[in-house]
Amino acid sequence: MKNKKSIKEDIKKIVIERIRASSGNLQIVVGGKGEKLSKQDLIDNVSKNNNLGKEIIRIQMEFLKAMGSGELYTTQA
Amino acid sequence: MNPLLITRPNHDLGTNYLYNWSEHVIEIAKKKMVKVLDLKAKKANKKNMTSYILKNNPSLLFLNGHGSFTTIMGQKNEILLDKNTDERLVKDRIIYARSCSAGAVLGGILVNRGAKTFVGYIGSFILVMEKDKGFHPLEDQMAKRFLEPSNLIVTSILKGNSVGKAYQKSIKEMKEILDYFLSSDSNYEEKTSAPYMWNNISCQVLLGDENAKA
Repeated sequence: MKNKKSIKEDIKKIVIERIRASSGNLQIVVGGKGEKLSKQDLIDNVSKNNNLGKEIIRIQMEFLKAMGSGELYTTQA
Repeated sequence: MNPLLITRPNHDLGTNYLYNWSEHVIEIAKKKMVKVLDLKAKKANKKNMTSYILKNNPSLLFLNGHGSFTTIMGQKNEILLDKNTDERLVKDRIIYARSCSAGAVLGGILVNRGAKTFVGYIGSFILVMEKDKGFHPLEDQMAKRFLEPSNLIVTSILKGNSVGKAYQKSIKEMKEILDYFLSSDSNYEEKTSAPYMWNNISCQVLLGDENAKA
């Protein structure tokens, strides 16, 4: 059975792969930080697992959870 | 209606987008003959905000800028509101903070201090933008998708709706955009942006009296 640390590493890999597969024509600003973040910046922050990286992981995982639970597709109600 | 007070710093790319996209809200307010106290750029500081609020008694505060669980900031991240804020600045007012995380802690504190309603975000407010539009924020069609639903909160209140109704309209618009992002009609960039739109939907909160009107 996988331990907590190993699960966290797996989650990080999933998020990095999702970002890697995303468009490079966009940049994002994460509210509290003023600077723009490119696709590579996002990958770097997630890899370092710093506060910004953790926030990106949270956002991507919340999206996947909502997709899995069907919550995303009930928004038109 | 009492005046609308808006703070809109522009000291970095993110705040410059909020600065520019707030223009539309100001136009609507002027059309509705609502006096606008526009604290833009360097004017978005605590001294000015305090003085304008105490002198003009605005019913609606639209605060753009960076934030945290316990602060809302102005130009160069000067703290405008925090847990020690003078209650005269917030009492009986509706506050919409287009800034990160202040809905998690500070919003509740301000409502306890007498603010009628606080709308904000319990986590990050995310803005997705096109890579080559940094110098032309108003031409950025992706940013438009992220900022128009948030503008709608204020414009809807200015049109006489309750804060609760304005909040619901904003959520509905974001959900419609998200549905489009998730559809087969959307392009690669739009699909990529879906997690961030979902974040803004799930982090937006209303605290206090949802029936309040400005």
